[in-house]
Amino acid sequence: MNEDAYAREMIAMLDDSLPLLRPEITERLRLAREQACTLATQGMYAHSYSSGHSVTWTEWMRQHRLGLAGMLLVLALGGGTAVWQAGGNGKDDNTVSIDTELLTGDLPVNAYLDGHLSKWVSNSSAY
Amino acid sequence: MGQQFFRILTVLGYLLCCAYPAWSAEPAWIGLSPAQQTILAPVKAKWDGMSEMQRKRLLAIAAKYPKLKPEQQRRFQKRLTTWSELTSQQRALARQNYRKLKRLPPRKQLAVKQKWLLTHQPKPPIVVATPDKLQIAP
Repeated sequence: MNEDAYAREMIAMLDDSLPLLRPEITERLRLAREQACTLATQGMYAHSYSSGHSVTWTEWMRQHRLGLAGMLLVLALGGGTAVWQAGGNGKDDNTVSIDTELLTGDLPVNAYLDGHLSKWVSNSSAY
Repeated sequence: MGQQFFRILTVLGYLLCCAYPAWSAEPAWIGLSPAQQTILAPVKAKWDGMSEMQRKRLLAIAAKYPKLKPEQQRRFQKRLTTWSELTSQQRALARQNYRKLKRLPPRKQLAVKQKWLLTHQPKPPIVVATPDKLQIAP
């Protein structure tokens, strides 16, 4: 007799003899089963909790090293772009101010391309 | 699960970095607001051929335009075409000379400006009065 057939036979015998048990025994068996199920559930949660904390920081780092490297690279790229943009914007704000002055100021644009003005500015002490 | 989350974040980050230049690019002429188009009308024909930097700067100046005095607005409209026709080297030279001029004391700045205007501004025609009529001297 193999194990499956033996188990089925045992279950059939237990089922057949169940009506023969007294009610108080049936009730005790039901309570015992409920307690066993409760304990089994608690044990399962406790196991998952302890195993979650049993993973060390270094182990977690090792598991996610590729993702972390990618994240660091993206952060470095983003940070570099932001710094570059901030530096460029500051310089460009100054250029925009000068361009505004050149386009709206007292002298026409070609005055600032004229060699005379440049020379006069350089020799301004003569005035 | 954790690794997949990291992979998705990394891919998104790369995509954002790659898309950034296109995302931050200055718009074509059609993309400008009606107000911007009115202010920058003198360079309409050249706008799409300008460098992104030049467009960015002109848009920044256009944003200041409403606060300019009427005389400054008139000068801006008049000079914009000439300005856009300059090479980047010429614009850089103009900025450099402007910076030099601004470093002078205000009194000297004014003297240099007046001298330049006196020398280079077209002189009004000399009108010679004769007994019977006014005549413009050659």
